[in-house]
Amino acid sequence: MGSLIVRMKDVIKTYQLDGVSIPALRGLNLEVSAGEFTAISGPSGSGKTTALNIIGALDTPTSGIVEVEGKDLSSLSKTELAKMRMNRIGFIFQAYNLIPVLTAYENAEFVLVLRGMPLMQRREKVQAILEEVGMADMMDRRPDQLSGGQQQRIAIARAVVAEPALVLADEPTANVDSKTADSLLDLMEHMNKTHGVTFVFSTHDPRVMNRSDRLLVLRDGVITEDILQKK
Amino acid sequence: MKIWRMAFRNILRMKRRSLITTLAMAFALGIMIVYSCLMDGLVHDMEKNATMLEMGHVQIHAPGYLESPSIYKRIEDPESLVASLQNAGFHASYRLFASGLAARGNASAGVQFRGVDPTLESDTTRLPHHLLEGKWLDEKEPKNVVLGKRLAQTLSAKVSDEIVVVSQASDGSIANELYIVAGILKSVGEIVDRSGLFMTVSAFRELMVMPEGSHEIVIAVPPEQELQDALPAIKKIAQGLDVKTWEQLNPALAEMINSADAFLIPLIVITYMAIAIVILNAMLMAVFERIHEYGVMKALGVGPFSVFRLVLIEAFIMTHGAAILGLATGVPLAFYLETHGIDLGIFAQGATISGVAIDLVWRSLVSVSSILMPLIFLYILVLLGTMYPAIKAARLKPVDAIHHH
Ligand SMILES: Nc1ncnc2c1ncn2[C@@H]1O[C@H](COP(=O)(O)OP(=O)(O)O)[C@@H](O)[C@H]1O
Ligand SMILES: [Mg+2]
Repeated sequence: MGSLIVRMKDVIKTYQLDGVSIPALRGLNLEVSAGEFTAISGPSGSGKTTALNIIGALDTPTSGIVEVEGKDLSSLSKTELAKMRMNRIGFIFQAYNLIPVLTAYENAEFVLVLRGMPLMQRREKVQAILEEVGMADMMDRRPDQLSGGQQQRIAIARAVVAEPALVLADEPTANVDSKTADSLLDLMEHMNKTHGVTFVFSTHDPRVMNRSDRLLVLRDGVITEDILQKK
Repeated sequence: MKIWRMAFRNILRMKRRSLITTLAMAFALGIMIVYSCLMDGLVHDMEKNATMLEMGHVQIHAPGYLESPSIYKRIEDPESLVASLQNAGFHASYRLFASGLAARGNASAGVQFRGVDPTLESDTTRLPHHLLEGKWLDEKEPKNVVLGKRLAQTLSAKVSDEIVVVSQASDGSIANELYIVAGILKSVGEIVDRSGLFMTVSAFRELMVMPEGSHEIVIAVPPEQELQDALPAIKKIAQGLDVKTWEQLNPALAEMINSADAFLIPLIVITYMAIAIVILNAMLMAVFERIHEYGVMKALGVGPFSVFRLVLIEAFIMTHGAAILGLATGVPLAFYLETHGIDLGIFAQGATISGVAIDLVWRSLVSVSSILMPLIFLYILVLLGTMYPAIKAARLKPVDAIHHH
């Protein structure tokens, strides 16, 4: 196992909704090392999305420590957090979340533009990744001209193209049929094995859980099982 | 630049709304340009009419004459005073005043005799060219007189008609004479219109038995010179006499001309408020529709400032379009109105403001400031109207935004 990418210690997250406290995470402890292909499973409402959002610095915990690559997130400013997301973390969302005004190519390119990568280098990388996700022939289409599975392929390309330390995927296959889900998982696995990208993804689909190397079971905001799987 | 391309596509995404927003801004800009050029034109015309028609820029009287006019309160040797003023680079003309009665047939009216030097007056004011009919006075035809517009109506006098005048001469004798109407003036101002009876200086001197002196010297400052700069020289020449600027002579008019810009303010406020609301609304809608998108962008590492900039750039692309469109329509229209004007003759026979006639053709006056001010205003307004949506977008929390549908 490689170096530690994520460390969560006693993380508590309580939402406040109309004066009511809703506990989502109740003392979560978690460590993820470089190169892992880890699934977080659990029933709806168990806190999967909350946990991923907190790791990805999209949300802040009520208490506890969150470190990404050894950096305590609570010590970083908003701009520094944005920088960290841009440079170190890739996101794949359940609802694909491509930017509608940009073409498939431009969506995949987006993070590289943010990073200020020169055009020629960018073009090379984006071309290569689109080939890899099998979308090279549709790169000029806008998201609304692509199927859900195709959009998610672009989203995967976008998440990994900048070679982040960590890709977080919140139920990436929940909106597609099982055949498409399989092929998306093939793709993610391929990225993990050939590029060494660390993946943490959530799912409540047993078929998807079984494809991870490591399975964490979340229940009521705490991890109840941590299983290393052999396939 | 990527952000520009995104902004452009976002605008094109909502073609109808973007078009309406842009057109509304362009319309407001065009209107404001035309309106401020028209207001400048009005002010300019009023000032020109107020001064160049009859009043001049500066007038000289004997001390106390203005407070209570009398034929005996005279400026001695007006001829040499006028000569000195001309030497100093000014246009000047002297005038003599007295009151009396004029009659034609059964009609009669109280009149003010105004003795003027036809040539000097031509050199100083536009009065000699402001004729409704007939011609201006001529030194060689001492029996000719020119009447104010309403006086001519009262007397039912036309060109070549004879009129009789009666007054008391300065030596106390009865002044009594027959004149021929040579010309009738267009509207000049209340007093001249109602009672002005112009005759040559020599005719006046003979009628009123007043061989020398005058009651008023009217001065026009050449256009390249500021009135305030010219005043000391005039005062020096007219030492011991009462020197007054047109602003002092007709403060109500001066006040009105100086505050003419104030007419503009309510219209500016209303128009631009409407535009601000249109912009605010359009940008708010654009931002609210895309909360989800901004959230995704932020999740991918786009900083708050970049999101802020994206919203602002979107608004400013539309504003640039509106600026081009507004300038392309407003400026030519303002120029057209500078040469052709708006003919108000269909509404009124003649109009006066504070006793001074205004042109019946309302012309605009195009100036850089009349074009730039509305333009700058538009940009400031867009900035203000977009600030709130842009800040809102910039401050979105990515989680909330991503889960917003
Ligand atoms: N923004 C929110 N406001 C209030 N409660 C929330 C919010 N997001 C999630 N929750 C609550 O927190 C708990 C965990 O939710 P979530 O992390 O979305 O679980 P999962 O992704 O496993 O379905 C649930 O009880 C959910 O209702
Ligand atoms: Mg969830």
